[in-house]
Amino acid sequence: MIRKIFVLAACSGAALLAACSTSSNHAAQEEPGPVYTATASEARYIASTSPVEPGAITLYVNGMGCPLCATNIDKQLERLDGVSGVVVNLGDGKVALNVSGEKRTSPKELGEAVEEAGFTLVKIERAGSAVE
Amino acid sequence: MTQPLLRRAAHAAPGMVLLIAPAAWAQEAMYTEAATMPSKGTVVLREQLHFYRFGLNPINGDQRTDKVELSSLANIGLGSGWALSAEVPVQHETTEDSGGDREAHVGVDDIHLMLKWRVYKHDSGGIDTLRIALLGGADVTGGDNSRFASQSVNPFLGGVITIVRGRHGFNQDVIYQFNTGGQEESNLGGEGPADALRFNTAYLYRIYPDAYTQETTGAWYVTAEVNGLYETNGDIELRFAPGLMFEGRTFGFEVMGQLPMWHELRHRPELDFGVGVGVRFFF
Repeated sequence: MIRKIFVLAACSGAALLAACSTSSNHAAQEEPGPVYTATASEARYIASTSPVEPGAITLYVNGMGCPLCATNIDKQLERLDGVSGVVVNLGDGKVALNVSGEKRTSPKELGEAVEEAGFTLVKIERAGSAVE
Repeated sequence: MTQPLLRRAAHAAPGMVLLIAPAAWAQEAMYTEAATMPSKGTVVLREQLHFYRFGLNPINGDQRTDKVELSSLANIGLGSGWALSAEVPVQHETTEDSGGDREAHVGVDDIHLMLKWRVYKHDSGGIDTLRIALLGGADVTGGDNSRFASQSVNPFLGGVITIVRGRHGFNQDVIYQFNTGGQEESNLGGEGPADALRFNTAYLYRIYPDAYTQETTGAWYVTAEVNGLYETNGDIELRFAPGLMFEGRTFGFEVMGQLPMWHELRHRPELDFGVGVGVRFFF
């Protein structure tokens, strides 16, 4: 009986490994995910409590490893003043959103919302260049 | 004594409503905890249906026990790395004694209340993360008869580490339960009266998509778990659980099997096999 169990377990394990290794020819050439870092001035900006300038911005976020992560981050950001149109790109770890209106959120609140969602905000970018 | 399932479910309903107040997971396999949790105010409801077949019970002489368990769990993010979950398991057991006579029982097992506190988080990349969480709570009797409910409060403490590196995920939990009640003849694993040490390892591999894109709305994983249980009466067991899991942005789906790997059991029946299916909804 014990031997039967081990054989069954071993077969299941082998099937699992086979499924993993044949699931994609790209497995061996899988590109590493993005790793974001911030300069000192970018880190200072994230700590700012001044309202974000109106317009489209991009958040660079580390730690979003699954589709559910997107739901978590959507919910936290959409609660902030002036934030709309949150779009999460799990592929590159970027979160696009619009900030508008008289009452607008600050970089610090954006960072806290991302932290509350369970992730790490590394930097904020607007119109193709980092906001400083 | 057999009791109608509907009546038992009605019994459990008020408790389940209360539980909806309290968590969400990502990359969490069926039988192993993860150091992930829902964000503040996000609620995850998880329904799991399990079937287990056990062999000879050395305590009461039953030749076979089939257990069907419908487990309803609510998990809510409390913010700042805290989450609260509550689980109500409704069970149906069929036993066959040495004479071949069969008997069926329906009841509500202990309610599982757990608080999770993430004590460490290091997000080293867009996808990669390492998290550690402490777990604490209690299995609280639901007031059912002693075949299912322990008639006691059984606190537990533990911890879990989660590592995600690209398509690979790893979870390891260790939980010690101080059992203050429970009956040996109805124990099918960790339900007392002996204390229980659970140690579960899960590996998850994302089989689709190869890489996340802006269009990604869901991911498929194969999972492999080793579920360990040591009881202070000397019983020890390792199970292997292969599975398949889908995780979308608002719902998830999982199918698992559970097979015995190795055991030394003298106080409870051996597992022949188990299967489980589950769904999760995120609000």
